[in-house]
Amino acid sequence: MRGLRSALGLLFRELLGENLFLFVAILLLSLFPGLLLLKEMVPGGGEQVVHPGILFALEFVPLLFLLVYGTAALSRQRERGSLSLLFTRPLKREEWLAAHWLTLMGVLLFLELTLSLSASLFLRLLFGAPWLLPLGKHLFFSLLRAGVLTSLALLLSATLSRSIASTLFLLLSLIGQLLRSGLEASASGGGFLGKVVQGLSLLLPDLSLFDRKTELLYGLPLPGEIYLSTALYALFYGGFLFFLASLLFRRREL
Amino acid sequence: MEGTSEVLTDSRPAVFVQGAVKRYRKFGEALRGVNLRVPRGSFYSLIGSNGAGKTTLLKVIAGLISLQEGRVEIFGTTPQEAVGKGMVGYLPEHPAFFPHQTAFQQLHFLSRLSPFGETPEVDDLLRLFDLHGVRDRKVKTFSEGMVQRLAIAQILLQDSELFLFDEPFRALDPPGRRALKDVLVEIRRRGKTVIMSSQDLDDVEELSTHILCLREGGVVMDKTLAEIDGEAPYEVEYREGTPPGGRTLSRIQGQEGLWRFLSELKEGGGELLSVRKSVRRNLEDLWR
Repeated sequence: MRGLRSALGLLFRELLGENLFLFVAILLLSLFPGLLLLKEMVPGGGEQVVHPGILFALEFVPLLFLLVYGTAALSRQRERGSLSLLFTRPLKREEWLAAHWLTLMGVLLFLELTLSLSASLFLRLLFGAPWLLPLGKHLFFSLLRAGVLTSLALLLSATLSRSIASTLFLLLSLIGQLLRSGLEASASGGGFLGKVVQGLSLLLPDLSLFDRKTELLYGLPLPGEIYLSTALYALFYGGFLFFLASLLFRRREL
Repeated sequence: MEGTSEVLTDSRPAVFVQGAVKRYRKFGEALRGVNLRVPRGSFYSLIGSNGAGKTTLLKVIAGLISLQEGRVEIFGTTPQEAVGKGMVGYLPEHPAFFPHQTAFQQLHFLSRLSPFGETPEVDDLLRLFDLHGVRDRKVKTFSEGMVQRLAIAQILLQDSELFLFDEPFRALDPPGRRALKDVLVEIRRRGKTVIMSSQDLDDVEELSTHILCLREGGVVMDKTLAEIDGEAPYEVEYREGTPPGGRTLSRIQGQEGLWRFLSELKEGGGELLSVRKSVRRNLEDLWR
């Protein structure tokens, strides 16, 4: 645990030192679509209770951040040679991995909170809208999704080179977000290929589970079971990816 | 010889390597059945040309890479266990730190990982390697030599039993070399075990108790410095008597041969200018 605490401090400093400009850029970039379409909003009065631009931005931030930094975190250290010095110390590799997960999630939480609060603040100041609860709900799903994606990014970063890790991350995220339903549909046709595809789709991250934009946009009710099942999926699938990452990272030659 | 006194409380060697084979997919065999037994308190130097397997062997001992065949023991345990107990200090060939940390932050972080309660003062270590003036500068602004000095400083943060140095003199200026030599002598004096790879034969000759020479992943020589010294040829510088000539240098093997040569030289009216033994030349021959 001492190793984990020490590593957290170092990684936060390193992340801020290396990516301060990037953080600001991501924030501005994410706010842009929301702010641009702000005027079209009818907060609380029309059909939509929150603008989709902001919800998309909240999904976009973790993906972009993890694509740039998450997938490079361990692979860059390995390629640079920093890990040789580190792992001839009494520091467990799982601790180092966990420190990365916590650091990335800490930064993502900060970015998403800033984004949500600033969006809410703008809406309240400009339109006198009530504090928007849907943003809070969306933040919940977005952070669960970020947890799974962080584990995925670290799994790839622990084992592959930077370029391959980021390409695969993007590919798997897109598959998880967009193509899963398509894969399942093709698998439902039956046959050997269908079963293979179905099996594969079970292994791939199902990011569509975290997509509750429609419900949140139109203020549709979300039963408690949805929150629970999504949280459990994030916990188990994210945990599985993290376990796999630590297993492979422990065996990784430096 | 100074520094060879073994710790007698435990008869197990500091490092035991048996039949070590390491193959890389891209580069082929880096180690071909290496056997090595490093006694406690000894100073082992690894020599050999580039690509001979020195760095691979050190990484195997440090637990950073695994073997396809053979086994490694550090004080009777696996390298990973020894590292986990803080028994091993390692200086890689190309040390790299986290670029956005200052020299102080970097050493402070590593010192907090030490399993031992007390670690040397970070500031004292920075002073020892003439880095105190740049303690708050980020490592990314350091020259290669400064990074090397910082890397040597970090190895002293914990009171390890086994020290592994991969080309420690690389990129160091003369004051840096002097400071490192003092540190190595002090480590040896304290009865710690050192394995160092180096291309500098003067340093090797000055510091080592044992020398291991690798060639293409195999051991071609594993001897004590005393044994190598005993086998080293005499370099005799002399002037012929008849006909009178200039200075000549001959290499003569063994004491008996030397006496025979000297008596013949005397009979021929020649003049002996100097006699010396050259371990260094003997080591250089191993490169060929």
